This record gives sequence, structure tokens and C-alpha cells, in this order.
Amino acid sequence: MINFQALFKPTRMSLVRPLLVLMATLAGCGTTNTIFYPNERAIKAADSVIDDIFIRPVTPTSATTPVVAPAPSKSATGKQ
Amino acid sequence: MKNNMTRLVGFVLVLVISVNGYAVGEANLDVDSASISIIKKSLSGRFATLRPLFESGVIGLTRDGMVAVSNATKINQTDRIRIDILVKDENKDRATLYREIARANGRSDWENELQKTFGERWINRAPSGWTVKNAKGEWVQK
Repeated sequence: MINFQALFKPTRMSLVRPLLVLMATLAGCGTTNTIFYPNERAIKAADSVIDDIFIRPVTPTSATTPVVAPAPSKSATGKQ
Repeated sequence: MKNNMTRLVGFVLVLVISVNGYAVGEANLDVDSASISIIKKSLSGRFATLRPLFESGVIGLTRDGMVAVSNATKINQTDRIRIDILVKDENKDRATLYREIARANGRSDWENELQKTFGERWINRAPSGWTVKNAKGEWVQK
């Protein structure tokens, strides 16, 4: 059982404050990761899609008809 | 005591935000949404028709993730019309694919970057002998 009262004693705050700053920094880094274009993950995703099309093609049925994509669902647009 | 609790809640909040931020940052891109699956099916269905055209060098892969007629001298006028329609439909699907992947991942602003990445990967994964556009914009045989 952690004694939080002891943890937050003024004498211990010198330890807690830097820890909070560190955690906040890590949180910032995590958020920043989602801002920049994830090139490695995009390559992985592209290769997966291309393999599906190049390597595992389905038998053509109406091959010349382009697809009109359905409207985005709430779950698709709400993700971050 | 109340002060301590406030600090504790703040600490836990920061911890949760931190872990959540990393989890989102490292997750794979979603390429299996319903709309993406429909487009992939359409593209793979058309691929059987396009494959001989790629192999004969009539059509090739461009660097922006699209396809184009690379050597029209190999085909007659009737075939040209049919191939132009195929190319147009293929490019329409590809544009939709890039847009839908960006949208499925909640980042519509990544559409152009994704298209660029796909452009590189289509060429990278194309078999030898296919016609592709090089950095100078010239058609070359891979």
C-alpha cells in the first residue's frame, strides 16, 4: 500500500515534481507522434494493400466499374 | 489531504494521457474498413485485365500512385478506347483508395502523403519488366 500522504510531503515534492514534468513531456511526445505523417506505418499499410491487389487478386466480375465510396461512418471520422 | 488528492488525480491524468498518446502513435494504419475493402475488391478484380497490359508495356505505373498509357503505338484505335476507360476507372478507384485510407484513420490531411507513399510502393513491388516512370518523368522498364 502506497502512503500518498508521505509521498506528497514537502520534502518529497522535489521528487514528485520532476516526475510530473517527465510524464507531461512523454504525453506531449505521444501526441506529437500522431501529428506527423507516419511514413513507416504508411509503407507497411501500402504494402499490405498492394499485396492484396497484386498477389491475391479476385476473379474479375464487373472489373471496369469504379467504386463510389460510401459516406464515412462516425467511427471512421472520429478516430484520432 | 484534499491537496494531496488533487495532486494524485493530476498525476494519474498525466499518466493516462501519456500512455494513450503512445498507443495512438504506434497503432497500425487502418486499411480494412468496409469502404476500403470494397475498393480493394474492385482494384484486384480489374488487375486480371490490367496485368497483360502492364506486362506488355502498354500501360505503366506513375510516381503519383496512378497508371497511364505508356506506349500507345502497341495498340490499335479500338483497343485504345477500351484501355483509356480501364485506366480512367483504375485511377478513379486508386484516388478513392487513398482518400478512404486517410479518412478511415481520421486524417484526411494525409491523403496526398499516402498517395505519394503508394506511388513509391506500387513501383517498388511491381515485377521486373513492367513499365514505370522514373524520377525524371521518363517511362523506363523496371
